[in-house]
Amino acid sequence: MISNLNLSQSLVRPKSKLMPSKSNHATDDEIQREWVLVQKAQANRQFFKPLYERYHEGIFRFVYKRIADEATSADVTSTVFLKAMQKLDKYTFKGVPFSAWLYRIASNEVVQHFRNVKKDRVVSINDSQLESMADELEYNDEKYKLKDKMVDCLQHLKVEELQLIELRYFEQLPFKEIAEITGLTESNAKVKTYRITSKLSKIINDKK
Amino acid sequence: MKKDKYNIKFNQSSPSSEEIKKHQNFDALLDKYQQGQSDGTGNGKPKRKIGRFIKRALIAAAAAIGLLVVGISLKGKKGKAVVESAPYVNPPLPDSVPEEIYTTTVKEANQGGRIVFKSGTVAMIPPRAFANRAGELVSGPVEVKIKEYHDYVDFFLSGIPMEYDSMGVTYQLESAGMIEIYAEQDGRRLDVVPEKAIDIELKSKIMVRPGAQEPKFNIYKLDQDVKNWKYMARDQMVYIDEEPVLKSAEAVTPESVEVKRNNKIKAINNEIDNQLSAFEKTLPLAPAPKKPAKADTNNPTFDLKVDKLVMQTNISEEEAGILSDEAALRDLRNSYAKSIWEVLPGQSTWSPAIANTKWDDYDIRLDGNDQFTVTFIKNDSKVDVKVKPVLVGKDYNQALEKFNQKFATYNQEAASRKASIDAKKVELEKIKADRLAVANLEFDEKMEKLRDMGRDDMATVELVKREVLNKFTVSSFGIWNCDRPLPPYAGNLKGKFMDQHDTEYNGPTAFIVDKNRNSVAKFNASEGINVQFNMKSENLMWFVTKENKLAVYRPEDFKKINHAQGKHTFVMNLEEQEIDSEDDIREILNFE
Repeated sequence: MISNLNLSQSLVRPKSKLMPSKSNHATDDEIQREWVLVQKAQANRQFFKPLYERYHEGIFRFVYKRIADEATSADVTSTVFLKAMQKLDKYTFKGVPFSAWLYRIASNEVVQHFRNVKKDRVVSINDSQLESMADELEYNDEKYKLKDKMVDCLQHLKVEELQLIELRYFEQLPFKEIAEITGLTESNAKVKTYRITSKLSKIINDKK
Repeated sequence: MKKDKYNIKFNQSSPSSEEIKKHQNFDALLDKYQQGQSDGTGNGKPKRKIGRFIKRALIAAAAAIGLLVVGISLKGKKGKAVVESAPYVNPPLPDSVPEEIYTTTVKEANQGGRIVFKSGTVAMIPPRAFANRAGELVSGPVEVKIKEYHDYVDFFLSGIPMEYDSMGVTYQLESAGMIEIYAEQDGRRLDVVPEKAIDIELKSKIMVRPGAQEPKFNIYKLDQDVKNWKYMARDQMVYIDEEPVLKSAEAVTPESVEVKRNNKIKAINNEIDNQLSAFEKTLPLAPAPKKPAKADTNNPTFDLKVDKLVMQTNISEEEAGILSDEAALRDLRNSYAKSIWEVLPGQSTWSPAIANTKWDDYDIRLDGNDQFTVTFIKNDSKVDVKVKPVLVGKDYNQALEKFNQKFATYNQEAASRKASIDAKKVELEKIKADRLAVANLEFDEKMEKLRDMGRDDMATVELVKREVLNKFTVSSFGIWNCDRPLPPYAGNLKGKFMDQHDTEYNGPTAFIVDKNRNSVAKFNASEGINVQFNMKSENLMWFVTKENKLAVYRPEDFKKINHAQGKHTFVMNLEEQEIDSEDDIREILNFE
């Protein structure tokens, strides 16, 4: 199915299966309760354990999707949590899940990793994400060409642009959390994501 | 063509939750955090700030006083320890053994180039790859220096840790070669310019199973800040020697001996079966003759000319073979020339009216198993009737007599054939039994040999040494290691340490080597310590005494250990030989 891309649809309301579903999101109550845990951990790092256990797998998967090597992902994940413990005193509550802050550290660590190893950054896409992404981009060429075209298309993105696409469409995060992870304001994250999506749509449909 | 920026993977599999959970270890994380807090390397609170302040002050002072001071201070290090600041790198014999450092000069740093060290190691230096400590590009000649570490004696002497800590689990690193690399200009240390990484080709040797592909090794850099190895990339390793010709290309283990015996038994059985089958084919036997059928007077019969007999498609291969041959078909028609056709009972298509109808034409088709279908044709209508050929009166009697003669001959031939085959079977069974006995005997002998070697319950394999070329990229100077992490050996042997003169030792750093692994592990040799080693392999252990002598526990000593007791007094052999060189150490340790 090809859908029309417009600002209100893309940025305000989920319109495809790629978009975040309500169940993925923490309620305000949950976020508040988590903040209490964070404050306890700030006072004594022994209490960081429940946060570590809650988010270890999520952060690991986030890293693994970008590095695609289990041992390295384990090391990077370990570094993410070590840095989180080290910087925990500086953490301030912004009304989003604590995980957003962890993802921000993880994102920086992944960038640092690729800077060190000088290898190509990995982008992981599954079939359903690919199809939904094609819908988002109003892809209207033959289906069998889609993978090649998507590979070609994503190469045009800068790292920061790619990150927004991944967070929004692949990780399915709401813009409030994307803003926290990327360090952008929420509205800036929305506008940038819209522009990148439009850019990708143009590239993928122009390159026949 | 423009290189892709991203490596895009579709539908890549990811570890399961259980697999991810294995990497979870909060206690280790907390330890690491607390360790960082206590030594100031953690979140870098007060100490890091002071460190930065001192560093900045030093840089400012150096700038003020001039480069002379920097030059003098660094000159003192020239040719000495290569690592600039690694207090946890502790050579066990720092003054006894001189370091061997290879130096090659890049004539013009602006141009770079390919340099080859005396050891054969190659470095590809990009143009403008060096910067001074102020971050300024340098030009002119630059000395590139390397020190190489290839075996357990090298690792021992270097004092460089061969452990890799990942999430609280300490892995032993098995090395395929390690290199320490740095560059100097006029005695001053230089850095690699970011984005100007140096490609290295390091020759070394590894132990592998015979016939194995190049194993997967990684590249780690010693991270002096976290006192741990840091994974950098995958080692692009290739063999550069000819695969050694082995006496036996197989690993000798009880399992492999048993597999070999089972395969041999299978091969013997197959060979005997094939021989028997081939023999049977040399004795062809014609099919048994068919007994003629006598007409059943309860069923209707009719007479037809058999020249209408044709081949049916759904008949047996044997019959098809006959019918596809014109001569055979003619014979078949002749054999039914005297037959009449009896209608098979229970057919709805049959009615007596058929016999009274004048048909334009008909076909007879052999359906198989001596049954036929007759199709009667008139205008556009067809009627199928299933029939069988039968004989009546004199024709039947003559046919029966002929059959009896043929059948007697057939029985004679079949009996003779069976007797020949049975005799051959007996002969082959005897050969088979002999060969199986030999295979089992060989198996027993091999197992006995393994038991004598104390390897009856082991998975030890015979490894071969192969020469490899490690290819990797160096983005900064320091110690780079081509490794793979090995999980720690399970050990439940509590140790006590003394020498042949009954002198007890408590506390020296002991080094232990699994000779099938290119690594050296160390531990504190104190009473009650859990000594971890691969009891299935060849092990060597030693420590340096206060008098700078080696106390050694040799492979043959390890074989005598009674593991069941759970504890063991390691009586080390204190070697009186003075240590003046690396060669002395290799001699004492019987390095091969």
